[in-house]
Amino acid sequence: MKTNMIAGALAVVCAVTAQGQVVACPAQQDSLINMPVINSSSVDHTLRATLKLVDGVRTMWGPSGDPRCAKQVIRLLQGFDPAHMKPWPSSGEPIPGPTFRARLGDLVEVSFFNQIDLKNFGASLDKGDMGTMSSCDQFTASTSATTSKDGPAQNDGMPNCIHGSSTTNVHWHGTHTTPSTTGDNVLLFIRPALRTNGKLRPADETRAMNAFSSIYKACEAHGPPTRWTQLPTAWQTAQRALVKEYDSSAVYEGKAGTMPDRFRLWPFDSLEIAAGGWPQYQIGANPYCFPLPKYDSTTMRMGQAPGTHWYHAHKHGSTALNVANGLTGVFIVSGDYDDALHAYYGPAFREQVLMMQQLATVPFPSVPLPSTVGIAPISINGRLNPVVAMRPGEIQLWRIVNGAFRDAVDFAYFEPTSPTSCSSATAPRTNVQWRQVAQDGVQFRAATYEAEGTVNHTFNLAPGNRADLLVKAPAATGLYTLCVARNIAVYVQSTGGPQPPSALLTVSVGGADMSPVQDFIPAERFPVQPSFLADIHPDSIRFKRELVFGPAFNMIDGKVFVDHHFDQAMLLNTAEEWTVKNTASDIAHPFHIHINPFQIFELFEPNSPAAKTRGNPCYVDPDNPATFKPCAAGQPHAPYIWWDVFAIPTGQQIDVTARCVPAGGGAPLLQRCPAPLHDYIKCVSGKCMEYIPGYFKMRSRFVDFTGQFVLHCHILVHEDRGMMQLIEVVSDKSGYTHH
Amino acid sequence: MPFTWQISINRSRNAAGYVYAPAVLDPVAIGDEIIFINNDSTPHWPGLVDATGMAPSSATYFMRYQIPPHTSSTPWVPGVNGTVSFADSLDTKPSPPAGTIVVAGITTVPE
Ligand SMILES: [Cu+2]
Repeated sequence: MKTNMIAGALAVVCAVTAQGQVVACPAQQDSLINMPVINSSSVDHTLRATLKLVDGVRTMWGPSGDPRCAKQVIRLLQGFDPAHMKPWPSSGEPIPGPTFRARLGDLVEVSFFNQIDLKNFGASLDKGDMGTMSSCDQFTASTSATTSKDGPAQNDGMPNCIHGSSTTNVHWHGTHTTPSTTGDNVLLFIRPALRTNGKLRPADETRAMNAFSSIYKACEAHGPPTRWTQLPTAWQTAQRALVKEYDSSAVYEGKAGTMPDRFRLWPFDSLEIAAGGWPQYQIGANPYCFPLPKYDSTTMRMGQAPGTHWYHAHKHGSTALNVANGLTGVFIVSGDYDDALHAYYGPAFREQVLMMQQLATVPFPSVPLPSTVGIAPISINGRLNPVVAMRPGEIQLWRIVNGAFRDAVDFAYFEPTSPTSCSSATAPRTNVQWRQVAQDGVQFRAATYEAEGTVNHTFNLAPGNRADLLVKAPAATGLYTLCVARNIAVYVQSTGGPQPPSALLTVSVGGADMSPVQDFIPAERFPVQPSFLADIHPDSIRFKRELVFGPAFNMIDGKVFVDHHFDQAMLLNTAEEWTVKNTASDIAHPFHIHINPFQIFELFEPNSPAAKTRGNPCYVDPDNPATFKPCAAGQPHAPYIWWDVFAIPTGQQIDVTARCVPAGGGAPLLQRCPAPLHDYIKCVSGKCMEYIPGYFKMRSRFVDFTGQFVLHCHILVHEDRGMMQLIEVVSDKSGYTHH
Repeated sequence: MPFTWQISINRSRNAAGYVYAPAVLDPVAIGDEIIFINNDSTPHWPGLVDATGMAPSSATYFMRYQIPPHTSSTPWVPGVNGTVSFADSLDTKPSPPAGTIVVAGITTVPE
């Protein structure tokens, strides 16, 4: 027996190396990694790529307070350019997927393969895991040395829980394209390729590649397909066989091939196909084909904005875990905007592509952690605090994406690197300079560059946000640390708020001085914004609506996401004005909507320092609803910035129970609360709470594309757990005629 | 966020015919996830070994169902510190513990 144990222990050593092992943490201040780039063809204006989702071992960091680093098996993306095949870097670093670079007007043809080996991850079925009522991912947690308790995480229920964790799709975040069929379709659930005896079946991939080449030919000629039945029959037949094979072989309650009918996928697919729709469940592969429309006033109401966009996994129930594994990549759409910057600065002008990630294998802890343990750190392109090289006086264009699954990052200041970087209140902060030139992949107008893109103007990137910066190195050589404050809300009522500043990256200034000396582009030379990005005129608003996020972390308008149900429907080619409120007091839920960006023109922040200072003209007095309004200072002004994610300001919550109790005692009642506050108070279960929500008001145009898509919180665990709505843009045309 | 650890169940020429690898998983922290991967062609089901060191006292301590061939288990998450030993509850022969998981508090490295 003893001998056996030792033999077992020896076997461990080999196995552990591959599967998981505590290792020394990688050194910080190593040079920045650049993700492999796949460019569109300048000959036929098509971005062709194979995007593979596989799994591999990468070194990951523990959360703050956990000094461990470990080799972990994660899901990861690899990209290949069919015209210039190169192996994907096999380094141990958890880098994002390939950077795609295309130009306005190009066609995107990305063959996506999901080739995850399911065995390397915890059991996770799509519609049912262990056969419990909830069907969510199950786990077992020990509560003492000898007893365990199992269930889904935190009493979540389908479909608003972590589930189907190796199923995914690709959201082309920032694209203005069709949300249907082969476009920015996040309603697709693409399961991993099936395996025989644990091995991938090469014939399945070949069959997919062949089918996709004819799908792309048709897409080049006619645009994206509109119906599943337009796809090659061979592909339709192959998918049907694969989905049915999954249904009949999946493991359920510890046995293969026993999955009950209600959890099978083909019945859902066949219903959708029969109804003329697009089957939701696919196995192993999916072709993405869609144009990046160049604005043309005769055919379009809006075009694709040239700028820094991105892509990431977006299957409801697995978005957080997949993005935490690093299933993200940068998608740069070039156009007049960056052409103009390159023309101004000349051929030596350098760009840095920076993808912030928050890598983890568990999206949120299943049991309470020691209070000293925090959350996963923010890395850039697979490294913590990497080094960006600049020449003295050089100006670079930094394209920054916040691909974290949870945290916002407030860009605070640069200071000379020292052992106490980011902790000294007195360090000089005027070394490296920046000016913001674009937000969420949409360039500023020159006037916004002058007003908001001022030197070292701090800004907060919520998860999903992007910013383009012109960054200017100082003349003095040396190392400079970028200090940022991670947060899930900049202003909070009482608890929470930003973390102390910490190092995000280091700029190393060295080499020959830039000659001639460079400076920030003057406003009169600033790239001209395309005409379709002119402000949405208030007179064009057809409809106004209001959405309320919170106070529960997983609810919009008082409910979690409901399957088969539209929460909002917009008429094609109309403009609307939305008030988006937040009743949470400590989380600024980042609102995100697909397909069309929006312009924020009003902002109410009840927890801003001015709003909480008695005597300040902006003071929000909880007893006086007349003060529940935006403060004149700090309001957005025209021309308005375009966003596709915005952290909704937090609100105030005040317990007014004591002021609502009837004179003779007893349970509190709304009618007993102070009359002016009735509209703001909710009395539930013997408690009366006053809510003063923070909000923003935005205008958006639902143009060019009909179809179903989603809006949701970009703290992705919130999305997975229910903070999402299914919405639809419906046609404004009818086939009927009247005589 | 916590880490995820894997324990593989592999075919072996030992007496039991299988081996859990690593046989000792250490160090694991509260909140980490541990999944068992069955690389064997027969089902396995790790269960808790009680103080007598003999048969599993609980087949469902780590997971509710057996692990079919060539699949993985649902995660088990330790909520307390300690050493947990396990054996294969589907093994009809009396068998020694197949492995242990050592759960210890995270010690923060002094700055
Ligand atoms: Cu949220």
